[in-house]
Amino acid sequence: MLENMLMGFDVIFSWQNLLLIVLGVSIGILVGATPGLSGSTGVALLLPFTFGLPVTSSLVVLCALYTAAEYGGSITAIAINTPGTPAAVATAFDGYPLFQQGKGGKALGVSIVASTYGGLFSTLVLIFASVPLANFALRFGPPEYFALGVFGLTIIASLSSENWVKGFVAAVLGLLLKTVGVDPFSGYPRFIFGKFELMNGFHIVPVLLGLFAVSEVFRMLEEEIGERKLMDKTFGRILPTIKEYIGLIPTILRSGVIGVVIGVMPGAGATIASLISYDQAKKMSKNPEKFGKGALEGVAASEAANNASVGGALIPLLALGVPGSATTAILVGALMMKNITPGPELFSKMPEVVYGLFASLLLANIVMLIVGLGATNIWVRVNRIPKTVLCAAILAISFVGSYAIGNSLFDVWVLLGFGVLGYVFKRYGFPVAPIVLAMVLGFMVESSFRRALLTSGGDYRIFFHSGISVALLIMAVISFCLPFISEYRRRKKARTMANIDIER
Amino acid sequence: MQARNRKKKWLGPIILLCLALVFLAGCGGGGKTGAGAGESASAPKGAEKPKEEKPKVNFPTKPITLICWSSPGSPVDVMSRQISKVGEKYLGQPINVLTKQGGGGADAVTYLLKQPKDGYTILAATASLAGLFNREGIPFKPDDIQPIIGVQADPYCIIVPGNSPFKSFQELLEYGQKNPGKVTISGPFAAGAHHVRFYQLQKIIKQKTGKAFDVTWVPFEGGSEAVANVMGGHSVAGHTNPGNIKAQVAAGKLKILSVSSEKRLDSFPDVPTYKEMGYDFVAYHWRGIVGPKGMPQEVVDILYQKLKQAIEDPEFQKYIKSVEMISWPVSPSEFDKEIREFTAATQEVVKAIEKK
Repeated sequence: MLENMLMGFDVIFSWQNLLLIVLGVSIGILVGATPGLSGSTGVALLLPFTFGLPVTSSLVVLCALYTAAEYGGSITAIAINTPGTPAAVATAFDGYPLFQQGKGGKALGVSIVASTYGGLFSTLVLIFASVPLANFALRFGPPEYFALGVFGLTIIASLSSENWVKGFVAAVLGLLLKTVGVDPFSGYPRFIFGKFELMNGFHIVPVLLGLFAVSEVFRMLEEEIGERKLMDKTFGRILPTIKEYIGLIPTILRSGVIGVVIGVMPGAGATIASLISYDQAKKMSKNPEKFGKGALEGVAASEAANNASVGGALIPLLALGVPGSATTAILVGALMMKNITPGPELFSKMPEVVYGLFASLLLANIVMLIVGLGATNIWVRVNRIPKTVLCAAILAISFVGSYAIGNSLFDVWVLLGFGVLGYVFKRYGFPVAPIVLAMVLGFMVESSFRRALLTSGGDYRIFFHSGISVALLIMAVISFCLPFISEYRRRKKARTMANIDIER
Repeated sequence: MQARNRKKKWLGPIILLCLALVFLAGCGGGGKTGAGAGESASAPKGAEKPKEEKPKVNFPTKPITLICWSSPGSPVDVMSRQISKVGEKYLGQPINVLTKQGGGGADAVTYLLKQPKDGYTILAATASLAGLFNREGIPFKPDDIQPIIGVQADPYCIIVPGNSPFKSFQELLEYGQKNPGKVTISGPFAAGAHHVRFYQLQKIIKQKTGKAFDVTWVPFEGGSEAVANVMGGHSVAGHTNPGNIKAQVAAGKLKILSVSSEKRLDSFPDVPTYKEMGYDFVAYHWRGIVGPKGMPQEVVDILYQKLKQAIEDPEFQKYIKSVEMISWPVSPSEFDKEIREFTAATQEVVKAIEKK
């Protein structure tokens, strides 16, 4: 193992490969920060340029891009409430409030460190535990995915800050919206009203951009725009202190594990990982009421998890030859182009490729840390852009990003529609995050439920056959009830406190 | 303070450079303008000119756009990019791949039909096109499409987990016939190409043996998720393409029971074809190039001839072999026949599902 790792570093340490890592990381951060372009599009766009490179070099630059794009998504999420990648949506929950409070430097500083840790941790897991984890992922069949989806849905309460009822309304709306599109079980188009652009349902990117970015622009337009507030030069530039970082260690460690485990599943991914880990951070936190209003733990949890899912997604690719995410599916294409079939025999047949990849992932994360920390000072300056310009810029970015998904103007209309919806929701105090959660998980819950029943011939007991699904369902019940119980306790405590006051 | 200033100076150019690279990458994916490539390639065209004067039409004189309806990195996309790379040698003009996703391919076809019918905008289509024609609310029909050339054909195969009790297709079939509905088969979505082909196989089996092979088709959104489901032992068997599962079979995680090709495959010499087992079933998941109906016949001919040369080029053949496919450069009329036949077959399956 050690010998192989040394060989891997030996392969990577040529100036061409090091340059490719820097290039991949830089492009990755920018691609990630650009809404509409995510890791998978970035890898796909760069792919044709790597045809001329040796296999290792091409994997080096593509994987560096993939890793960095997961971090890049957090930059725009924090600075302008526009998640650059869908997986950065949970980063915006707390990152954007922090930025508005002038703590942008802290949010960005936490994001890059958490991302780097997530990336490094998942690479180590990939190196040392890929085979057992891949076999664990294979044990996830339809009933297990259903249970995971249900567990994921129980975090609605965490995402709806004060009013649960409003949160549930938003989630149900999200679930309903997710039913639009062709039913994969019968091929019948549902609720598309003759618009075949809706055949595949609403694409998540215009939905996210609409709900978060465009609705925020509408809200900003309401405020007084004419005045250009010049901020103090150091405003927002302060990075987190060592003490703050130390306080985040438990959250980051936990989120790294959640990210890897969920990233391994071919049917779940970075977005689900970061949402679940955000919820876990909130539940474990001593002051959960700060979440959604600017908790550093929220940013750390989301970013550590989505970067950890990168290594996770590579596990089934290398150990089984099955891609664990959309981006790794493109990497399969990259390998196929070089006449290499990814799979378990890669370790014995071409160890230089596999261990070169491991070494480059470790290195890419460190390069990402340096570039990311260095560039933080640039991102926080978004604060100094006059709001008039910023509004126009956010709108332009969202329009282009939505159009870029499928070169289709329809997605731009979807963006505007969800922008209005998001604005109305915010206006009347409904949280928008549960809509996103429901749209990310809704399809997985529905399709795996039906798939499980097809497999069992309509027997509902299939959901209780495996330990994994039972455990997940029990966790779902606990996770669902926990916020209610703690709320009840808090109220009781408040009441007794009040009683004591009266007695005095 | 000074150090910070220096850092700023440094970062500006670096970011500019990266931005420029991203734009470069973007151009490459969306469609390279390829001025340089076009010029350099114009030389061989000049030399061929006397020969080409006969069909009167001078085609192509500008870059061609090849629309791809699937995400970058998918098999059709990889094929499109290979066609773009090798085809330029023969057509003398760059072929730019334009990704146009949405509507399960419907957006791409609609876009194609809106473009001038001059052969400068063509589409990489797959057997899923037949599924599109059968979708409710789709405004186009096989008559709107001008097939140009087939490119590759991908055989189908049946897989079972590595530790499955079924050692051969016959064993699976016997079990399935004795226990209707008990055999679950994971595969891509309902009424998709895989499902339609399997339905055809079921019909042939029923005719031959007199007994129905009733199975439960468990649809997935993607082929690889279906394969993972079989590997985990969550379904009895799966339906996929041999190119997807070479590594898993080699590692003993999966067994492959049968292939739908004419002859046995080079990489799986022990796996029997349906034909040898006595079922007259040869089927492929095809991919090819189509254009809008109404293109000049001369242009269709030129595209067919030049792309045929490209497909037969050793470079392209090497790629086809590496993905376990079969080269399938059929003529426009044969391709048309295949599209129509498959559309009818799909319609039958769609109706059968609706009846349930």
